[in-house]
Amino acid sequence: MSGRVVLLIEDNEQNRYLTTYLLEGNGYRVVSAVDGRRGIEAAHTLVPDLILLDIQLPEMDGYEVARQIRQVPKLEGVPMIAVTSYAMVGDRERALESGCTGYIEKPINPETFITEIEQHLPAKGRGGVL
Amino acid sequence: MNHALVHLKRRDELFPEICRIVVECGGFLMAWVGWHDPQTEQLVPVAKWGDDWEYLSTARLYADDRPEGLGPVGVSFRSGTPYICNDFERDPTTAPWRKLAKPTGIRASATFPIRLNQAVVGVFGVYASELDYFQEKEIMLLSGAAADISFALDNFAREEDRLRSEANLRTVQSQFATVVQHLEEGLVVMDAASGVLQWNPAALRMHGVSSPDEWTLGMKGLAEIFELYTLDGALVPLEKWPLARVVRGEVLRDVELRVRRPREQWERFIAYSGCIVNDVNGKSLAFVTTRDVTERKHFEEALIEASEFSQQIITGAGEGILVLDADLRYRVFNPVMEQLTGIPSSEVIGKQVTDMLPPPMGLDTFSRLNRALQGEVVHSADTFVPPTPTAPGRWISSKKAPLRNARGEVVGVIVIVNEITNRKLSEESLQKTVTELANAQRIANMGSWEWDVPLNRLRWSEQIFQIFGIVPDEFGGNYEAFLSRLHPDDQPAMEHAKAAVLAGGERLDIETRIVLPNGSIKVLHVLGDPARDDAGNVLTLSGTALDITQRTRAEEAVREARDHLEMKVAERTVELEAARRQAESADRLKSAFLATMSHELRTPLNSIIGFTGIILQNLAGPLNPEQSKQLKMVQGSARHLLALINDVLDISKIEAGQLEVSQREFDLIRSAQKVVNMVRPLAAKKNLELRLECLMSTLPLVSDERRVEQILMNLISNSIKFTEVGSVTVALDVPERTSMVRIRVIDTGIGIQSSDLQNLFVPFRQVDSGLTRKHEGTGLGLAICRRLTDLLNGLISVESVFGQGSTFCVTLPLKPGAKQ
Repeated sequence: MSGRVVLLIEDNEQNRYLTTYLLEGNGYRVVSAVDGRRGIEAAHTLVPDLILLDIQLPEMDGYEVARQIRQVPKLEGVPMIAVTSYAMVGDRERALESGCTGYIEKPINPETFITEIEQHLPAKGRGGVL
Repeated sequence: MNHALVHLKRRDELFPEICRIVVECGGFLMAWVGWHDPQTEQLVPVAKWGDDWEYLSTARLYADDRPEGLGPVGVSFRSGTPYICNDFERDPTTAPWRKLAKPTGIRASATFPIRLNQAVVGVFGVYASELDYFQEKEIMLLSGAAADISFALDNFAREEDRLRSEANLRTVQSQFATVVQHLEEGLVVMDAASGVLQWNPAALRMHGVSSPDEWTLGMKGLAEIFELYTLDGALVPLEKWPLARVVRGEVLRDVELRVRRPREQWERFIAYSGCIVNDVNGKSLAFVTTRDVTERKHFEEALIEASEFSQQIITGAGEGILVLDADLRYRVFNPVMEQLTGIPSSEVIGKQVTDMLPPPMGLDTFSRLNRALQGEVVHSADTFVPPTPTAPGRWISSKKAPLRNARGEVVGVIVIVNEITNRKLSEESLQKTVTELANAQRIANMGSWEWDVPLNRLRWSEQIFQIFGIVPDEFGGNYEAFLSRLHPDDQPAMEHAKAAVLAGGERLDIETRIVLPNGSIKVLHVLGDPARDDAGNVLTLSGTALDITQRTRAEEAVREARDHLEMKVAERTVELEAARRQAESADRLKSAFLATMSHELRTPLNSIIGFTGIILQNLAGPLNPEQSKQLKMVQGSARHLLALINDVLDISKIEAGQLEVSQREFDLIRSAQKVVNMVRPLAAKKNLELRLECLMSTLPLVSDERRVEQILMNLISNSIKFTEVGSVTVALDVPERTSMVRIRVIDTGIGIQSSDLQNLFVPFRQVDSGLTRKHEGTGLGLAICRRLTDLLNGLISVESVFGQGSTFCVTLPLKPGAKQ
């Protein structure tokens, strides 16, 4: 199975493990980055099918990462979902303004997580045909 | 001689004839007749016979007792007896004429008086050439001759009288006829016996007759034409007509009657006078004169009217009018006088001034009235009349003027009295106002002024002089004198302000400093309004000058105080700003704390919930039933913990003002559908019917979509949670005449006891702690709903019948600012 590539930018090791486990368990290939700078580099080289972006990151925060990624033409169409435990006013809006296409609050619900991210991806079957 | 006396009818024929007869028959030298001229007293020779050698013309004999009258002739004339002088040369009376008589040969004379109607009017003198010629026989003869002459003279006189009377009568008759013809007065003569009437032209004219020929009517005929009335209007019967009365012997004097000729509508007033005259023949003639008094009557009527008119004027006049006659008795006392004095005119009329006025005032008045009687118009000074029992006290002024009749004679005094109490009061009030104004100006430290611009005369009130610290004599009274007293720095501004008003400005309004003689400075606020002529030129500029020195100082003090205050405020503001910043930073800290808490609590929960979920999905390998059951309990607790964290954060954020709400338009129906779909699995699990009811297809609402959905979620979840059987209905509508949307969540659940209703929206007060175990939830849901609703300017309420169900109702404005 030629699994889709998901770039996971997440500094918390446990969360990285959880998400990777969950995605790989559902047939995705997961590449992780532990901070923003490395995440952007990885995005450049990989051009992933989906980016999952934590917001609270060391040094460069997730909003800035999102903006820089969006400035890269070849990454323009890549779905990017902010997955964050920020639940303060305007968090969702700020994320969307920075270039994210989706927003999932932590803690994630493993039962629905895959369904949620797949709403941001082109349908599998159709991609297969193409 | 008798023959002569009988035939000679005239004196100038008779006297010479008698003289001739006496001389020729008696053998005398001469006989003559001297006629007395009463003016010269001379006895003029009017006839003589015989040669007198011009003795008579030279002798000049007189009748009075002058020397020439003391001779025989004069003595005889004065004594009325014959004077016989038988010896002319020796008789003492003849001395003056002896020499003259010598050549004539006269030796004796006899003189006899001639009488007319018994009075001596002349003498008959006879001269003889022999001494003692006149003896008894001659004297008898000559006396008889003198008597004959007197008799003849009497006859002559009677004849002359007769002739003269006849001539006179003719003249009088002719004159009378002329007079009667042309008389202004009418004359009607009636023969009492025959009843024949004669009218003169004036009488005819007065009675309206133009052609006298036709006018031959008798009384009865007249009665058919005329009607006579007395002035009182009573018809006069024919037998009482003036002619009839005169015929009966009455003497009439100016009986005035109204004479009408009803057929011609003719009418005159005529005054009749008359009496009866009996002529020598015994004929009775009734003479009636008529005088047309129509004009006078009309005049009298007018006069009466005029008199009534003046009476009305006197009665109706606003002034008190009284008239006194020359004895100073009251004749007129009009109603105003009655009112002024409180005395009815009936008590005054006819009384004398001295009866009515008490002595002190009376004396004074009396002298003035007497001056008026002398023809002077006397004005009295304003007088206060003290109150009487019948009239209040009053101020009066009076004028006394002589009252004159048509001939200009003073016949009384007219007194005109004006009550001037009101004027006096006004004057007093005016005086009071002036005083008050001066006081007000003094108290206000404000003066008034007026500048006559063309004459450059500036008039100041007393208070301005006070303000300037000068007396009127020290002020020049013109604009320049004023300007020179201003502070030099302020003079240009005053000049400018003045020029602006003169050039058409509406008002002079300027504050200026003045320098007092003692060098101190005051501040004046000068206001002035111009009065202009039609061409717009300023005639006068007048206004006020207010000493605002004190006020200005006070204002400066206030300004200083204000400046000080502002400084304090600024300092305080800085302090407050610091405090505010501190507070803000505290807020930010709290906010950061909340964010951190949220993040830090969620992160471990992410692992717990995530891995539990993964294990329970058997992704990490199969679980036995006991492991699965225990892990599910872990999962439930973790989820509950998450919910608690979320709700606590929500409450905290709301109460810290951290929860911002957005205002965007969204479709409430879509939001409701979304929430209903999310909770549908829960309802399905309990076999409950879940309905969304709305009559509209869309329901646009401007609010915070996420928060509204949160409210819906909480309420619907809540209802499902507390309902075991039946249904949960979500109803959306917009009540009529409101701009609110109403969201109702109606369930058929256990309901709420009324005692619990009041605590329903309080945090952690979930109804009946016993239920807590049975019903999941944090106990914060309704509290959050309440706070969110408040935040969205909405209301939340609940109705419930315990055991039957509850209805939660939320109303939200359709747009921000819309009324509840």
